[in-house]
Amino acid sequence: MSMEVEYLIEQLQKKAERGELLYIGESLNRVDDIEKILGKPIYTADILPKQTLYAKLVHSTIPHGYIRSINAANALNNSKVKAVLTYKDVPGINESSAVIPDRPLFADRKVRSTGDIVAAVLANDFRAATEASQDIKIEYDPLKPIFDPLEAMKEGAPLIHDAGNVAKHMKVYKGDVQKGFEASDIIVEGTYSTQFQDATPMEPELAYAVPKENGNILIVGSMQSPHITQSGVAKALNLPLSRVEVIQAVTGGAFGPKSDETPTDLGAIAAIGALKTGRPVFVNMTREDSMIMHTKRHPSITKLKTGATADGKLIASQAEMIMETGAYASLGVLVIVRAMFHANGAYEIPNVKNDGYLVYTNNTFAGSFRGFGAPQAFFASESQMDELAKKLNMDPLDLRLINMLRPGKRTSTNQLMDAACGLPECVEQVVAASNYRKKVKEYAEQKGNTRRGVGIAILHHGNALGPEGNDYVYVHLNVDRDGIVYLGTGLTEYGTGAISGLAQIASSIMGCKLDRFRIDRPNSLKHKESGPTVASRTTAIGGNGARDAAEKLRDRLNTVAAKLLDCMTSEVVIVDDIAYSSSAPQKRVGWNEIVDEAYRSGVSLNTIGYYMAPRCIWDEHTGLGSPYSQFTFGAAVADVEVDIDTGVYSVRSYYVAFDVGRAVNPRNVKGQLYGGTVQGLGYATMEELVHKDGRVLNPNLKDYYIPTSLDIPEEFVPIIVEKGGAIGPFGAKVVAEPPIVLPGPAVRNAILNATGWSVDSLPITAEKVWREGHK
Amino acid sequence: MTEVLMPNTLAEALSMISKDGHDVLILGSGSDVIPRIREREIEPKKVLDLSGLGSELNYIRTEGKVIRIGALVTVRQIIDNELFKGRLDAFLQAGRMFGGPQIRNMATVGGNLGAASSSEDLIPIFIALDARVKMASIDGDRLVPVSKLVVAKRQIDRRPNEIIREIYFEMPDESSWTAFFKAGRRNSLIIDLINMAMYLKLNIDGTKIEDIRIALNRVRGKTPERAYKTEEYLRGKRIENETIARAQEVLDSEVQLSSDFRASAEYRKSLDKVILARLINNCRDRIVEGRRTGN
Repeated sequence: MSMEVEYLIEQLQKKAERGELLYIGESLNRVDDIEKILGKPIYTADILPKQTLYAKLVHSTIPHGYIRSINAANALNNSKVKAVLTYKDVPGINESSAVIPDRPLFADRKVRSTGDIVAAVLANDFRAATEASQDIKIEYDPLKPIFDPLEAMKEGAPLIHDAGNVAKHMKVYKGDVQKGFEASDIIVEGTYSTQFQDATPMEPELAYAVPKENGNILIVGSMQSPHITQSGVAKALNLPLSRVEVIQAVTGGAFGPKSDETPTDLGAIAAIGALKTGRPVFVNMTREDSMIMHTKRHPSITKLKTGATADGKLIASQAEMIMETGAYASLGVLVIVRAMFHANGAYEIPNVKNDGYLVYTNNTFAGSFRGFGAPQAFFASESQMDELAKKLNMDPLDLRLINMLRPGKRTSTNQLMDAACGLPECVEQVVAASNYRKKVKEYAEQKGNTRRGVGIAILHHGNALGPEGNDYVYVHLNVDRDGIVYLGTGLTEYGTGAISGLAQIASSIMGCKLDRFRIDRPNSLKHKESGPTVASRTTAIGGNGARDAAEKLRDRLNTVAAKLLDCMTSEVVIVDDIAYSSSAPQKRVGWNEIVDEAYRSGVSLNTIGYYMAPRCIWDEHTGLGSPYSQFTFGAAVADVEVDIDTGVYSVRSYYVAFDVGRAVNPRNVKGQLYGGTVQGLGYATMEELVHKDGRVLNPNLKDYYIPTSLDIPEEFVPIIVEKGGAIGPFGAKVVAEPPIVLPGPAVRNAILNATGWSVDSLPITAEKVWREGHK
Repeated sequence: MTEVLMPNTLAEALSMISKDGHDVLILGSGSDVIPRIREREIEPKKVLDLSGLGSELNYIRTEGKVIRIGALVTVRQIIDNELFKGRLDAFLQAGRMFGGPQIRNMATVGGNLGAASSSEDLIPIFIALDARVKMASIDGDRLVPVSKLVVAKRQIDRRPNEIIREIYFEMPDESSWTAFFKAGRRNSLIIDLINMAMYLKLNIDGTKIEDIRIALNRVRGKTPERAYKTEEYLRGKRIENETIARAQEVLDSEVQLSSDFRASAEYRKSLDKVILARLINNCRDRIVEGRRTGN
């Protein structure tokens, strides 16, 4: 046997002793990376069918009011304009919403925000469509708008929706919070606020529709969840699902807003236009359109009160969070649930009372966005921990060490932490890497205008959908005659590399090389519906589907290989494209020989894997129970430098440790730690979508700031901790979302450490720091 | 349809706009103009592309005390030029934070002056240097003090038949220094909350301010201007904490700023005052240091 094979076998044996497989835990290249580097992938707008019409959406010009009339006559006079679509053109149900049916596809009777779509102009080119869109005359009877969620909650406030301005009230009640406060030696109270954040995926939302000869409609677009788009379009077009084929094109970033309404809006409008005109229709979106229309991160106002004993033991925590959802509820009804489950931080606290309200306003709407309520919740809870530490005259780290979740401790919902709770390891490692203790001592001595400071923040993050829906997945695997393996699933790749991770899992189990894998373009008619590609669930949930499919194929491959090797199936080892018998490893057969033999003997190498996460049990009235099957844990330390006179500061270093259970691909995990942190630093320090009178003031990348390479800390240390979880493949936990959560409180606490100033609202602009210091 | 004129010489360019220059948009590198055309913010009938005039308009020349910068010199060329390392430090400070690397490689001095948009960082520096802009036309050259160049946002004192040929100023002497600072909400590609450029000259024994020019992107209106009252107060004064504190008060009363979603007027003013003190001290320190080391 060659040296290489000997080595691989040795590696395999070592891993097998740990119950693992060859490629698990290896930083392999992604299946699609070379293609992407070479610029080969075809994105939605790259190649459009011949005769495609371009659609430009027309948004409401007022934030709240009734539509009196829509007059498209002038626009239709333009010979390039082929059609103008409004609610009257919707053949099915005029609705595009996520959970509560509160949002029409085209505004009909009423408009509730300047992001509402009133019409779509279809023309031969985008310029003509854009110009003609200004010729649509819409008359409104304005209603009094509300832009402040606190105003919206008041009795007698104008109703944005008939059912009232509070879309959801979510509670977590444990113990007796009143008694808890009475028993406390020290109580701190504070109000923490956060802003609208835009996800700014590199590619805006786009979709085109093609009418097919068989009466089907084909939709190609940039999206996270093709099956959500399929069912939304089918509903709007009054078509059976089987006639709506949705293909996810290669997608340039998503972060949440591409999972729900917006891709459905675009798909449905393109499809309605395509059926009406008989031509393909492309709904083009500029950056401005995208930033006005798609869902953003909910702004929040959180009143938090914490009680502790004099020696720093937490006794009670009460949170009231007002989360602004804008004009429509979208997934906010679930965002507020996650926010409330995490609102008291990663601590054991015996008495808890959390009330979360999802409130409508006439601003543009909020919804899914990386973090899903956790960034708002932890900004409040982790900020308050440092205020408490200050009052207790205790180091913030020590306060956390006393109270944080560990094996045997219970969360706010009373969920028991088992051995998979790696929070103590995360804290220990991030404290060591950042030299936290030493820096705290050094920085305490500072005088002068430039001050350094360190801040720590920790979290737990309930994995995958949990209370947000049934967590199931299907993964298709098909080995062709050439030995190429096609992996298909309704879950999508949009930049994280997670789908490549599924291939890594499958290849490990099947024993073939990763570069044999090809990823099918997700297609709603070809692949089974697998839930949305959200909640960082692709590896933790999808990986189990890939494992199931791969194990089914591996059984068949073993049978075929046993025949070729003349051994028992239990003796077959297949690794890295080579099969041999563990009893007689000298004889080997290659991958293609096995595949050939399978085809010759009629053994199907085409299968579907399935996985469904265990149901999470919790009480809807009290919020108590176990809403998640497993948790990710994380800790971060930020080291900042503040200019006292101006409030200008920079994050000099950032250290972060995450317990990801098992890193299937450590390089990809680090990619998420980097990317999530940078997007979280944007949220912490500069990003803010500003509404004025219901209109977005800065829907462009000139006025909406996201970090550039010059804004990233000089030193960035990512650390992976592995405490295998209960459900993910090989113990894997989710990682894509949680890193975005920590920069907000870590930076805020570092500034507090440097200056003694508490900035309780995001983003922490230099002006806010300055104001805090010059009150 | 936009007609693109591509002259090979300045003379040719000037004759192309000698009549009907109103319709012509002049393009240096396009780093400002092209995105605006693409967004249809402007729809010029004709574009005069100066890129073929490099041999005539791309130069940095020293004539005695005078430094002449051709209109097609890029920000990158300024940053890389030895001439600007030292007393003309303001250019390096501005250059490092000017747009992003691609913009620095493309953007020209003439374009910066011509566009006169709120993010044109070079104009306050030229104002602090009391520079003159040379406009060329077929009738000959005309000089415009750079302090009078910008008449409104995106509007400069240029006649339709003129092209910005060069900008020139005197090299500050060894008793002087220049400095620049801008503040924004991130470290690159920003619209400035405030910016300030300063030219400061000490008297012969280095104890007093002999001359000072302070230019800000906003003083009263929406164009870069000098803070004359603050300058006047500082001229002849010793650089002491009390003087600076008083100068900050003068500046505070002199500038009238407005609030927007990026920052409040109050914060902008406070930045102006802090930066004023820092630039004065920075200029003073560098002059003193230069004298000590003989630079």
